Amino acid sequence: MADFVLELDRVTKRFGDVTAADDLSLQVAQGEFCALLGPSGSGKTTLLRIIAGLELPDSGRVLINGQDVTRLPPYARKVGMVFQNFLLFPHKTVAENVVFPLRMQGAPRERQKERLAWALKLLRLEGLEDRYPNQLSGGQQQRVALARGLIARPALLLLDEPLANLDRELRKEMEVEVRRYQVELTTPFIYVTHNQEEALTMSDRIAVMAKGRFEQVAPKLEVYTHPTSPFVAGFVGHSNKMSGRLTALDGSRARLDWQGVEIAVPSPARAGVGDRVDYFVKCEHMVLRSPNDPPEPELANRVPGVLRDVIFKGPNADYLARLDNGVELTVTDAVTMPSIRRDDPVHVAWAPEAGQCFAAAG
Amino acid sequence: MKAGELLARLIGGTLLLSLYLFLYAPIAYVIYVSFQKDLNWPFPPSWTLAHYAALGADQTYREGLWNSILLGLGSAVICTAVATMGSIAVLKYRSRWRALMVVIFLCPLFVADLLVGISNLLFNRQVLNLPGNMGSAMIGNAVHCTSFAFLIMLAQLSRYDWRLDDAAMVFGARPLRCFLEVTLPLIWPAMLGAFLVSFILAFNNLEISFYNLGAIPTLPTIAWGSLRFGLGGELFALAALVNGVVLGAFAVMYLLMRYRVVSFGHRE
Amino acid sequence: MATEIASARGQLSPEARFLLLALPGALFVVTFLILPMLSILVFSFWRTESYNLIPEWSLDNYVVLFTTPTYMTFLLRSLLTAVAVSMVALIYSWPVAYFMAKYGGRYRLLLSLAVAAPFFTGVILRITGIQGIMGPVGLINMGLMNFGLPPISFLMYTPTAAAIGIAYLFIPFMVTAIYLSLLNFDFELLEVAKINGAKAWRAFFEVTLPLNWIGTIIGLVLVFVPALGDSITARFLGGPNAASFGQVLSLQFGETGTWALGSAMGVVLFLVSSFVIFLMWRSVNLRRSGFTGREG
Repeated sequence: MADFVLELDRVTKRFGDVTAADDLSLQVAQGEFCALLGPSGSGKTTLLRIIAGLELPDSGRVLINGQDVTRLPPYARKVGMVFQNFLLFPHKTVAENVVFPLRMQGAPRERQKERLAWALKLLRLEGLEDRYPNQLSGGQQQRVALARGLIARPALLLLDEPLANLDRELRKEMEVEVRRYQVELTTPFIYVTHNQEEALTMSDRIAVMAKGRFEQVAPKLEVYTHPTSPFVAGFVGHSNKMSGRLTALDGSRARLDWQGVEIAVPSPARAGVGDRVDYFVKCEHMVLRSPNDPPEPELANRVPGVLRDVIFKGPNADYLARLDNGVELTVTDAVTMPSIRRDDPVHVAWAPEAGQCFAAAG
Repeated sequence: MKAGELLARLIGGTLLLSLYLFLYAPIAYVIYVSFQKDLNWPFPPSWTLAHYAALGADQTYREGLWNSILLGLGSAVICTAVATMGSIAVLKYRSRWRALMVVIFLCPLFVADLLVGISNLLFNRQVLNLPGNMGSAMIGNAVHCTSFAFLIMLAQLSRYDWRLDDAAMVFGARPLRCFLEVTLPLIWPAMLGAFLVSFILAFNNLEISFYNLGAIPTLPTIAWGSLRFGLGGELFALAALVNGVVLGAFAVMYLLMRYRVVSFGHRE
Repeated sequence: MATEIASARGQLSPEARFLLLALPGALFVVTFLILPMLSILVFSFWRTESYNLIPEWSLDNYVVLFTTPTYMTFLLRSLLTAVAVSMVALIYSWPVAYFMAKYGGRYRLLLSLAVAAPFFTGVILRITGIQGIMGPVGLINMGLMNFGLPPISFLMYTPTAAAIGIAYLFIPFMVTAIYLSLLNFDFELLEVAKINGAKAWRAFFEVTLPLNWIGTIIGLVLVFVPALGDSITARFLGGPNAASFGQVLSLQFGETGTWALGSAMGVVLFLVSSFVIFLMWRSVNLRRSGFTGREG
């Protein structure tokens, strides 16, 4: 009867004056990996805690496998969860930690053993059964937390910034592993993070949150390439933001006066000539050209400036160009231009449709 | 090291040493005298256990000891229970009543023993129509110790991560199970500390017990009675014994804390 | 399904859980501390007749209290003693606690427990100890007499002896309170102050003292309250010329049985100590004391 494992129906939660969850609706299907991405204070952790039953929403409903669990306490929901800082029970061994959910459900001892063996094997924890959490490395603790979350075959697994406290190397490794478990088990994962790389690496779908609202809920590629709000455009990926007033509007194209420089932009919704707009272009969608290069018709925007600095980032580099109007643009490109030096004159060029233009708020 | 810092160390160290001398000289002397035949000028020493024998043979002291233990246990159970619940409430849940509750729990610190004793005496008698008995003495002492127990619990539990309880609940533990499986095994040292301190305080309390016990003797009230007639040998023996037990309890506490079994709120 | 719906009722709001846990203790304190205190406030306006309280309202007890010079003497003496003992304890405890917290190293736990431990022996047995040293047949006087010297008169049943006794009883509180506060104090802040040009004493008054002022105030309260309400030390160490307010108060509940007057004295005692605590608390500026609203 249930098409979705998790359904949120207009969930709202306020803490005093702060609205942590503002009329949120979301559906997550079997096998899906859904990331809740947002800056700190955006309400993503609150939403996760509402799903787990650790917070009671002021209004709205939470359904798991079609059953309304809004008012059920956490221990009756049978979801799994992986917490920030792992939250392993410090006085219990690895085996006791992992088997905890089954014991609480009163599963028969045989089944506990069998599932424990399964979970330890899945997460490569064999041989660590009798260790205590403080005798484990960060990565091992992480895997114990995952094993505990998964052992009871939960309807869905909630993950609250599980990788935030791991160092960079380990995080990269765990991102791949977490994704692998999810694909293997087809259990839906709801993954809260403020780290867009994590969200982009692992998830199928991203719900971008800000100030208790969903800014955009879409497959990750779409969120990245077609942000539907200025917040998403600025938050996901690295973008240059250009603000100014529209000077002309002609069908799908418009012209923007950006601090004295005229550029072509796609026509924004709900904005006319003279209105303020924000125009976002991802850094890697811009290119550097020498002033002598011939014009390219598809790169309709081409503005002159001076190269101020180059920041190498392995295969790519960020080129910082100061334009004649004094503003700086960041261009991410392959490190293929050894001839360009600091203070050389350059042109920054891009296709107008590579970016998104929104009517400025207020 | 600069001269200023050296001076500061010197002064601080000297003052600390003199504080120890001030605090422990009477205790050491009491213990010494308790083994001496001559109580007034026990030099040169002539050792005896007679005072301990007299203490042991005295029926009143034995009765008093039993009553004091009972009183200490009763009070300690009450205030450990309310202090544990109160400190969990204050640290775990946000509430607009939080500040008020903290103030109420700390109120007893601002009322002298004497006032707790007489106000309970009159309240029990006039309002509740209860005679003084062990129960009212336990309650009076427990009220007084609640603040101390509460502070000890707060200090220790402030480092407890309450999200562990969240984790237990998400994985299917009902509140009681969660407390028994997760919270209790992690906070019992704090509860033990609160229990010990309130037991010792109630065991040794004079004024609250005195006004609420009627004719029932406890060690401190008997000691008070005998101190009125001057320093007797059995008083020295009693003081030496109690000091020995208290210092022994603290030595155990020190060893437990030193080897990180428990911390009682102390931070290294 | 049925059990799960039933358990839904167990889903209490955080507010309800808070009250469920905090109320038993709060009600306990209210019932057995605050109500009794209020009841003696009521009784202080009654009168006593042959060991019975008679509910006839009047201000007589207070009139007696404030017009009988001896009562006022007792009150002033107790107040003076309490203030003096608190101040001496404060000045003495700061360097001691500072030394333990900063230079105690791995011994500071031992050092601090050793300060706290004697407190737990109880007032009477501790006074027994002091009497053994300072009393008329105590170590000091007997020693002097054995060497043919006159006894030190100010140690024999004087207000000074009582004050020393009170200091002996309660100084562990002060040291411990300041020490615990200093444990949470970041001594590197002092280095910062010094690098920025503050002299040692300046750094102390600008940084250390303000950030540990709450702990200091707690220590002051813990010493002042029992010192003001003292009845036992005065009785056993102070002698007839050092009778304290608390001692006279306790008499009303013993031999004389004048409970109404005793209640009035209790009210006065409580008001005086509350007023002094209020004055101390006014010196606390929560924001500037580094208070964050959380322990640790």
